[in-house]
Amino acid sequence: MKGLVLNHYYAIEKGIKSSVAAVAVLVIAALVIQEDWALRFAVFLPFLLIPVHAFEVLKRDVLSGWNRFEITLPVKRKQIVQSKYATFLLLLLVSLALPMVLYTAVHFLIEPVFTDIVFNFLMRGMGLVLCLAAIVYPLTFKWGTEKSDMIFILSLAFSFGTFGGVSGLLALVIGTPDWYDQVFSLVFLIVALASFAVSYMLSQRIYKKKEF
Amino acid sequence: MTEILEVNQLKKTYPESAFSLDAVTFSVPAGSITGFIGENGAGKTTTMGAITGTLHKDGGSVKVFGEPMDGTKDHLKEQIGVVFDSMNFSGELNPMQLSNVFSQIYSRWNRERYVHYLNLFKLPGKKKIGSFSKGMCMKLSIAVALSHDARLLILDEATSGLDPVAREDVLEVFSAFVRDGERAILLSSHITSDIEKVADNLIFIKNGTILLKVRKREVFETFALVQCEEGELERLDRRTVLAYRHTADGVDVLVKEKEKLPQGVRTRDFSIDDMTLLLMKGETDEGSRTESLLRY
Repeated sequence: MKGLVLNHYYAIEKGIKSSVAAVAVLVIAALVIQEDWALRFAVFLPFLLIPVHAFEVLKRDVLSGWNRFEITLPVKRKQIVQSKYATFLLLLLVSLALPMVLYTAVHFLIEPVFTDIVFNFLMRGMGLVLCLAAIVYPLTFKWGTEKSDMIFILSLAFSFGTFGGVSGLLALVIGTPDWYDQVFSLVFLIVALASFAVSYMLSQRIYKKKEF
Repeated sequence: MTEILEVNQLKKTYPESAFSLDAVTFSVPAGSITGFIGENGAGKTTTMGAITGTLHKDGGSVKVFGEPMDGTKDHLKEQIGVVFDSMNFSGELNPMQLSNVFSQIYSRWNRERYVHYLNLFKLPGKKKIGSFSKGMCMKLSIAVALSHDARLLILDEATSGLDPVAREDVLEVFSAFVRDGERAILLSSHITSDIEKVADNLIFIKNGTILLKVRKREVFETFALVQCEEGELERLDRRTVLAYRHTADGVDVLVKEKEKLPQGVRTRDFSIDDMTLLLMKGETDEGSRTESLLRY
């Protein structure tokens, strides 16, 4: 599987590097201006810009014919799906690590910037992009990349629908105490992770039957 | 002779398509190149897809090196090199990055051999594949297929897009590949002159059905292309007529067992291209298409 992930990385290397550089500049700018809205946005931004490159892999694989060719390689279909999800998770980790490292450096070297709000936004950002991936992968495997626009709209609807749904349900169950934001962020992340796990299993099933 | 690839009663249908592979059966012996010939949509790519696992077969069996082939058998896939007619690799990579990828995938990836083929085919190692011409992409795919110690090459239109000089080089490499008698190639190509140059065996397929399986040597030793007038067709032994086709000058007839031809019949030299044309476009005695006469 390492080779497949490496192939994905090479295919989107340029885009990842540009996004990481842009995110680093914007996070540093947010840390410099020290506005609340900027600090929240800076935590959220990496999740919007970096993991989406993993979805681009799906398109490139089809365009280049790699998706058919990789079936003939000494790897199992299961590993092919794993490699696509692994690429996404690696980029998600980068999106998490980048603001964490910068915020930690500022927190300990200059002044405290880590607040509950920052952690909440980290969890929400991760949750949203995990929900996106949970829809993008199985539907792309099922319908093909030619329906990518519709799939992306559906995945956005699912992400924000889940976000709103969890928020509404939780408010019904526990009300809106002071610690609501923390609990909501955590519950939303857990629901997103569960969706991602279900999506992975669905994708495996779809890919097993897929023909090229 | 050991069979490297055995395809037996292979069946494949597609939903919403009338096309089907109809019990396709053939084998590819060790030390040989088998040319797989047919029109577009005849079933060559479908057969190759069912062999390599990109398509799920509906029936029949595929054995590689004597072992049933399925997509989970990595040790078999290690020994098969595949080249498709279209581009196989992401355009963002360069050939050397591709080597890094394959060294993580194939246990017997041979970087030196790969670089040797890159040099032989005059391919730049550090240039993005996206900037390559179709011919360069095909040569790169062939270089990959030859660099992991494969024993079977499945080449779907692998010579298309190559200029005549490059085709010559590639065909020479294919011939050298099977020379040790341990390896084999299944090669489909629209360019039948390529197949004529290197193939040992020929398989003709039409509408998902194998029309004819024959050794190339046998074709040129025992087959003949007869040119006759409309009335002369009756003089031929109908059992030896494989196919005939009306032309502006009369009738072209492909016959086997040419020693049985009556005296005075006019024959002409023919190529695999002529033979293909007759088998694909020709008729049989009953006026039906040739596959009904030659069905195996």
